[in-house]
Amino acid sequence: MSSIAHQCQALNTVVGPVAVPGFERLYAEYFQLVWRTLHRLGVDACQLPDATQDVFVVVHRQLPRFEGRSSIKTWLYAITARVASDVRRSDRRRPREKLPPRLVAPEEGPHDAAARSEAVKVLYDLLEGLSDDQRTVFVLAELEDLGPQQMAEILAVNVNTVKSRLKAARRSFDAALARHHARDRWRIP
Amino acid sequence: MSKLSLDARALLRQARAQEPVATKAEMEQVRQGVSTALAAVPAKAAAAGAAGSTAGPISATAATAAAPLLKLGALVAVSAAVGVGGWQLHGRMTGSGSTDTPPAATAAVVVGPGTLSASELGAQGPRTEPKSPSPVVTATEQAFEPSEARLETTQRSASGSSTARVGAAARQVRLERELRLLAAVQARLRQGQGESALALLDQQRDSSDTSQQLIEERLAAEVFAACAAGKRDRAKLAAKRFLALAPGSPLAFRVRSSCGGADR
Repeated sequence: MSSIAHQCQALNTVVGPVAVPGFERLYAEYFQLVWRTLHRLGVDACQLPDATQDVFVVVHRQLPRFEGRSSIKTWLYAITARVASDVRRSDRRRPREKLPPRLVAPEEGPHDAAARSEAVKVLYDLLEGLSDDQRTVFVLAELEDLGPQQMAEILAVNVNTVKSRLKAARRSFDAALARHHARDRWRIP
Repeated sequence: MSKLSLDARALLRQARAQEPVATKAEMEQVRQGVSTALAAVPAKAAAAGAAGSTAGPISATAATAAAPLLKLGALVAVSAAVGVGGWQLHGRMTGSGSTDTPPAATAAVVVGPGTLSASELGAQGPRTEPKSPSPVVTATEQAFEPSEARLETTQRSASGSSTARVGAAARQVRLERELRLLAAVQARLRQGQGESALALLDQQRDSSDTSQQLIEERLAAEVFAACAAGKRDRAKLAAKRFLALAPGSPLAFRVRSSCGGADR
């Protein structure tokens, strides 16, 4: 048995006043969510494994203290958002060339790749144009389908702050998409 | 809240359906990394709650993973925002009753063996091997743990008997001294005392009493102080050093726009 599995066995029981899933189950159930959310929040492809690892290390350590006063998903989003923010801050301190968004899973062929790539590429390009705060609320609201109250809890800010950030983010995103379409039309004779 | 345009909604729908997921190999790679990281620094949680059942495998893995992890076993959390934001959420979740008292910014600077400087946080390149807990983990984790645990960590670091811990404690003291110096420089700049701020920086510049972890901030302060003192040549020199060291720093715009910046 791996050390993680072994450790998780000890955690796979009632923790605090409520029963929360064991680490192993959380890992299996939410790995893709964490991975995808980090990517959407601006962690580039080459940093994704490390950032995802960071999230789950925190999850593993903090799980015994989690008392279930918020949903496990909210808690995971909060940790994920914080790790993404730290990665972006590090990037700003030491700028480097970012990899383009991951457009295809490695095992996919070129035909699938071409079919998949355009919408994802445009989305990530437009997200890059948002400020960090706007990007975070936009991703959580529009791509992760979270409500303002849940986002406020995740980001530890006022609900009205979330709403105003989201309003601004939507406006910026729409404007950027309009510019993108305009450029496309201009390119095509 | 205004709604997104139909165009944007269509794009989101399409992109969501097409986003690739992580592969099984990537999932396994991360799992290995988590395992190694947890083994490197035995989880405080495990120590508190389930030490008996976890000590064995952690120790076994730690023995093999120890060598490459020595330099990464440490922690620096420099952002007050990180501490405050995560703290509020954690407090709400655990009902610890202390959500109104987030840890102070200086308390977030916790040191351990082989402390990494704030600037080193950004210097980490992509890693393909499983890694030990990164400063990002530590900073994030600290944002989600109670103040008692954080205080305990700090005290343990500061009063540990090993040489490494003594060194770490000394580094923390130097870092705090450097923070105080910067605060004093800022105060003098706010009062328009450029010469005085510059003198303060000169006095401490090469001193071993400072940690040199805030070198970017010190160089930026030197630029602003030199400008305030009317010493443009010095400001230019400091700005050049600053921009060579940290071109992407949040302070870079202000430095470039100052009397020492290339934009002027």
